[in-house]
Amino acid sequence: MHTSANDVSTGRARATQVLSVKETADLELTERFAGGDESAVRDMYERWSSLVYTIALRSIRNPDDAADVTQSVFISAWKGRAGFDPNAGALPAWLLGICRRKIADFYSAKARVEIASTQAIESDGSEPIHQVDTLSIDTIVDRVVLADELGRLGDPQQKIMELAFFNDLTHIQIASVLDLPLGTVKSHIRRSLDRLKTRLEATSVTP
Amino acid sequence: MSHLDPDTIALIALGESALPDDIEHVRGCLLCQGELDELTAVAASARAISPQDRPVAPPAQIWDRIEAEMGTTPRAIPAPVQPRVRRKSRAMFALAASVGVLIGGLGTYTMISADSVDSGSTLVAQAALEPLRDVKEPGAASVQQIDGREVLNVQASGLPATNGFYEVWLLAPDSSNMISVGMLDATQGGQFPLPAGIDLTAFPIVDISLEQFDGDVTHSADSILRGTLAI
Repeated sequence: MHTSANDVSTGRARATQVLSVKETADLELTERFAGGDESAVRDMYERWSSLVYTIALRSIRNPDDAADVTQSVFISAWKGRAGFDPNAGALPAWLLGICRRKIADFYSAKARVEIASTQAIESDGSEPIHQVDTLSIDTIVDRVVLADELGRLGDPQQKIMELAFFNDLTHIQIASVLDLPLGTVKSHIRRSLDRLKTRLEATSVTP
Repeated sequence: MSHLDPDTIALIALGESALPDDIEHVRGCLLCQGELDELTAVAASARAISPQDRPVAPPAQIWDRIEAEMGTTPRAIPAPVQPRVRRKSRAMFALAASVGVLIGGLGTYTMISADSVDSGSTLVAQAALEPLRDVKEPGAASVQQIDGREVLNVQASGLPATNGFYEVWLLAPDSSNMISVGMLDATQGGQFPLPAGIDLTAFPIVDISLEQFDGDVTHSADSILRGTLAI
């Protein structure tokens, strides 16, 4: 793939630069938001509305309700920005924390309506209706975040990881299929796994 | 024994077969075992991804709804200082001093004995500070001349606790220029000696902003209380 040392070093230099630009952008966005800059909400929406909406949709399974939740998440984030502490965690983790609460609020409102409409239901010990046959919110958040990050790995990393995860190929098989050196595949696998782990940690919150 | 190569740990986490020596090491090594457990959990979560988990964008009109709702938030109406304006205090002080504009020279003192019980203390101006958001109680500000120096008094008891801090500003009528007067103790209010030579008619607005510890010395554009000094 890399035919000369020059290509490799150029590629690396570019990758480092892209990463640092991304990190700088994150930091800048966080500061703008914490500082009360309204335009930061637009940027946050562009970056994370798909995550928020998809998590809501997977959980609630109704596009209209998921859209309402998405709207309320960003409105709450803006109104509650004084409560965001950049030192306590990353902005997406905080945003997804709000998303979890909004989904929980949606369910409790729905449960109240259902209970009211059926007049009398024993509330003690009975499993909440929505929990039956539903993935936990933590599981949904993890999977959507991972799917998102997988899509951002770029190739050949994304292809390598999809073959490893979904086709259960070994690194030797992947190297053969993609015609890549073994060492390249191994290091891509390790770095990608590390990146997925880091992303999960950055978005995990203790509810 | 040396730790496992990180690439090898990643492969084992994905379920590839490992050498007996490597397995033995991992069993006896908290560090490698911990790393392996974490990556194994990531791999397990990733393998459970279904097509439905791939992020899809919300309907286009959602942003419009958010924007419309944000537009109605109380904060947007008073349009506090935005965009961020670089502080120009130094230039303004120099200007005011060079022109020789002194409050004393304007003859705008108002004597209100009830507010100036101290001998040698004269009320120069005062303002009610109206809440712009999140604050229930209005505040109050007054400028007194004490022994020839002007001092801004700020009373604001209803400010919410914050991870940042509150800063007191004097703003030009059109918010184009401003002077930072100091940091406000949210529980006690405060007294701020004003720079000699300041022209309060050029900076008649008292503004309390919520600032974050972000190293940015400019106004955050997040104003909490505001009022115009009646001079």
